[in-house]
Amino acid sequence: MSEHDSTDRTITSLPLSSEREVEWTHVLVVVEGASAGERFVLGRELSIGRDPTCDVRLVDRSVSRLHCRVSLAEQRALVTDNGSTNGTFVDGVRVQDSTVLKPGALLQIGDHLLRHDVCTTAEAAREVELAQDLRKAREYVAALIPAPLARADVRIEWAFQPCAALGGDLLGYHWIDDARLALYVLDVCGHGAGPAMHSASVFNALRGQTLPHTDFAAPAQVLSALNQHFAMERHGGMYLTMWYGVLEPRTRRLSFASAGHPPALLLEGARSTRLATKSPPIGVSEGRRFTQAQAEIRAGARLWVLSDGVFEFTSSDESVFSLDEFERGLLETPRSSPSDVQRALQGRAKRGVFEDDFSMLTVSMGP
Amino acid sequence: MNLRVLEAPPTQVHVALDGRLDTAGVDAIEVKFNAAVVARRKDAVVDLSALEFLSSMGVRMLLLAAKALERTGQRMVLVARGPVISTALQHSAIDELIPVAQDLDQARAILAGGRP
Repeated sequence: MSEHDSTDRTITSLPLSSEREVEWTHVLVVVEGASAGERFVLGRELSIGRDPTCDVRLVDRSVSRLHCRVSLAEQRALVTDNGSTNGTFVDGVRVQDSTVLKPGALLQIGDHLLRHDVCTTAEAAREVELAQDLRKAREYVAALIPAPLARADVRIEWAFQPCAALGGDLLGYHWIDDARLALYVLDVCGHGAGPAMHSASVFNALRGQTLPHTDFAAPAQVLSALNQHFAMERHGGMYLTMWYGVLEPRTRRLSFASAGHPPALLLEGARSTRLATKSPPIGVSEGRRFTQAQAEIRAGARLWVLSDGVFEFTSSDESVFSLDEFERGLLETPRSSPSDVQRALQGRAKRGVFEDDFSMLTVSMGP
Repeated sequence: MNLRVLEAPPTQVHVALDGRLDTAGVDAIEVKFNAAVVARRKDAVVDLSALEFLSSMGVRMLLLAAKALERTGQRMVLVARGPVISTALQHSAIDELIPVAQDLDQARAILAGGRP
């Protein structure tokens, strides 16, 4: 046999994948509930409950402090209820004492639903890493939002909650000069890291006022410039909706423009006025010209700028909440803060979960 | 969420959607929708009359399909009746990009009117 033959020989001694020793890992994945998307590797035992000391802490009023525990012995997972008030359920059946949790089984604890997954240790590590990356991205996005503003002449508050899959919402405000404030809520369509990164790019262009030849005090110009710079063909097919306003606190005058975005609501006494200019989303229609409109925010009035995640969610009774209902609710409780409204709506949402990012910014004027 | 492919002239595709076109609805039918509407490279009538709800993710699915058809020289016309879907289309201003008809006859008339 020649030297060439010996090196070119087909190797047949590699172990087949089924013969390799595979290490399995058991994971609890939160598939529904306020902590949806989180993953917990099951070592020997995981304690689950509302208490901060629990390995799996579920912020959910229907969950007991030390609700239940899941233990693993010889590749078999066992759920034990700790005498919880509302019970622990496996595939819909209440756990009396302890029950085996088979791979793929669903564990219901309060408004949370967790799935028992078994995967290779390498897969589990990758999934945990991905979940951590998503959490970091969520934290980065939230950190971009400026602190609330509390001045005698103008007050800005907000509520922001990214959904489990991380959407493309962002909200903010900045001073254009000493006299004028820019206010904005934007929503890149889609979920995941891509839309979140796109949203951060647009946000930074606004906050840094880096769009060339653009007067940031002219809302229609800002939307036109964004439309030119963020065309979906050049940005992975992503587009965004947006509401952008410029407020001069001294005169209380507001100029605004919107693109494919829900109207802002200007609440004054028992009346709500919807503020929007009808234009398609940013990035979908090259060369599009945008228009703007004016309003006045009088003393005692309050402007609510929001994303569609605030009212597009499924209620506990399976009906879909709507902008009309949201508007009615605001008129009934005009003094509520954005955080109050967020809590109230979360209480109405099915399993306490918003299906999309929740973004809401309010502006009220001093006397 | 359901998608039905209905009878149409040889140069057109006609599909009807019913249910909730939200994130879960889009996940359930997007591949089927693109196969039925975009891949056929024909003018398309998409009937939304039986939709109960149209979210921004649903709007996105329609918009991306309309843009894909546009790139190959075809058009999409939506059929929408009722306040819920019409309001969603108006809020997103998608009706400025995709023609919206009141019924099938009007949709076919829009398509017969040629390309703008």
